[in-house]
Amino acid sequence: MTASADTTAVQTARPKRSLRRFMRPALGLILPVGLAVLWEIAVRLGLSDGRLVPPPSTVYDTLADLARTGELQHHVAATLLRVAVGFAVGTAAGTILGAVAGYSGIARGLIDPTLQGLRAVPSIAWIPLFILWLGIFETSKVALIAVGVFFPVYLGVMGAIVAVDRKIVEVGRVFRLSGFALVRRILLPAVLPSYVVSLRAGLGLGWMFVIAAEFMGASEGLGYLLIDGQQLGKPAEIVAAILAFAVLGKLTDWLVVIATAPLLRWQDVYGTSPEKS
Amino acid sequence: MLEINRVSKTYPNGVRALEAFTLTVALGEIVAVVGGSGCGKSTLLRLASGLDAPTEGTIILDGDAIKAPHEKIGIVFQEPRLLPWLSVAGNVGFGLEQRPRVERSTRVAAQLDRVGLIDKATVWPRELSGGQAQRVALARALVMRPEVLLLDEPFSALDAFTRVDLQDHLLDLWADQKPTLLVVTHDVDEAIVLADRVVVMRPRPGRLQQEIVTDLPRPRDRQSAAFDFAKRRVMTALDRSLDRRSRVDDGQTLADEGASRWW
Repeated sequence: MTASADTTAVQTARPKRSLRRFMRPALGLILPVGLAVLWEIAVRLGLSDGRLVPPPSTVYDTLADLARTGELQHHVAATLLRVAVGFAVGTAAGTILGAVAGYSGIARGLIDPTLQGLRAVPSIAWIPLFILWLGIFETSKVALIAVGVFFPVYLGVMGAIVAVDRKIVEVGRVFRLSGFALVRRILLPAVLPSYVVSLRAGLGLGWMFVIAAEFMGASEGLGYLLIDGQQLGKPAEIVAAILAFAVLGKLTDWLVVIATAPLLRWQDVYGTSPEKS
Repeated sequence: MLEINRVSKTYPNGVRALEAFTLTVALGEIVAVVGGSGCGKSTLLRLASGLDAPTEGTIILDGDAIKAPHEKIGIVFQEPRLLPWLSVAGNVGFGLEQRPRVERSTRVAAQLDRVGLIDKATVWPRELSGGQAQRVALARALVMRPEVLLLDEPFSALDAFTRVDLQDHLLDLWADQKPTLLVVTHDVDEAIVLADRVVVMRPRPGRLQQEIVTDLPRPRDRQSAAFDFAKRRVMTALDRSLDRRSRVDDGQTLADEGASRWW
């Protein structure tokens, strides 16, 4: 009976939605592009020498040079690999421990206080210990990133599982699910939307921590490029590395969103309703 | 046969929800449980489903003591409680995951067809109306071919028109496999349309007030004099269940004036 009303709503919404899909990114570009253009003009007109704040054209030249020599790809690959491995390890550990602590009150009482205590330690404080334990090479860097990713994922999964509607859990119980089956078939799907949010938060921290990790003595990676630009007085190189971070961060975040979107199509929320303007 | 033997339930907060309740329901029988709020009728259903355990007494289905959810017992709640991340077909087939894929899909399709929603198999629960969602919940329970189906005020959240529609539909579905139905309701009309026997409960603590046999011929005419008479009997019992002064059953003086205020 509501089906006909629904389909007309979708039909009228479609052309508007495709227009919006085009307009939204354009809207977001106005501010950064406008500022860049203004700065470029200011430097070209001689209002500033652009030495400490390089104009976009200089940054572009630097990026192009780095790309031509293959340095950029090399550094990006090194950083991406660290983030990927650290993210994978941190997510796996956060998901498993979060699910266990969310499902079982005893497990929560056992591990949650310790983890909350560890969470209170600023993760960068682990760096000296990780270097002593794991050496100054990849392992300590990946461990640091994994720690950064772990906490938001753990907290997100546990908090969301604890908050799953009892009525939905009872449906699982009526079908005689318990333990792992209940987690897999009821709890994890129910927390999927907040899980994605935790993954994105974890990934953001992963990018933050890769810089910290690379600051502590790396010979490659975008963090190294930042330090190198500082020590050699090349602000354009620093800005280029920052730009690379911005692009990579946004790109990987977008990948998470794209990869999880098919799993969240069932959501009935404000953000996906066609009526939203 | 479902045997509920002197079952009591005290919740951890000290509330005595059910007191020495006894009821035996034969296979294929339809029993409605009515009563004012706080009479323990929902508690009774939760105990019978195995979701909660009784404090005292036993619930036995065909010789098996029910202590946890049982494969022969299905339940439909007041809300559809569909899993929003599964399609309609996925929800109906939720309990059949262990079965071979072909068996699962044929049983799901047959059941969806039976509740008239085969064209909704691939949609998300959020796209259903309230009545459609409750039909899916019915299908999800019935596809398991339960021996006992418990229904906890299954249609009370629906508008009057849809409610009457679904009551008839439930009887129609019941005729397929003739499971035992135990229906908790606060709608006296619903109890009399559905049930062979109406169990009236009294509150605080929940106890059995009276059993009324309502074996009118089916299908039942909601307008008939016999229907009205059965309704009057249930109403009278309900009034007595709520009026402490008439604890001793001494007549039916309260029947008419109280007919509309028992809850």
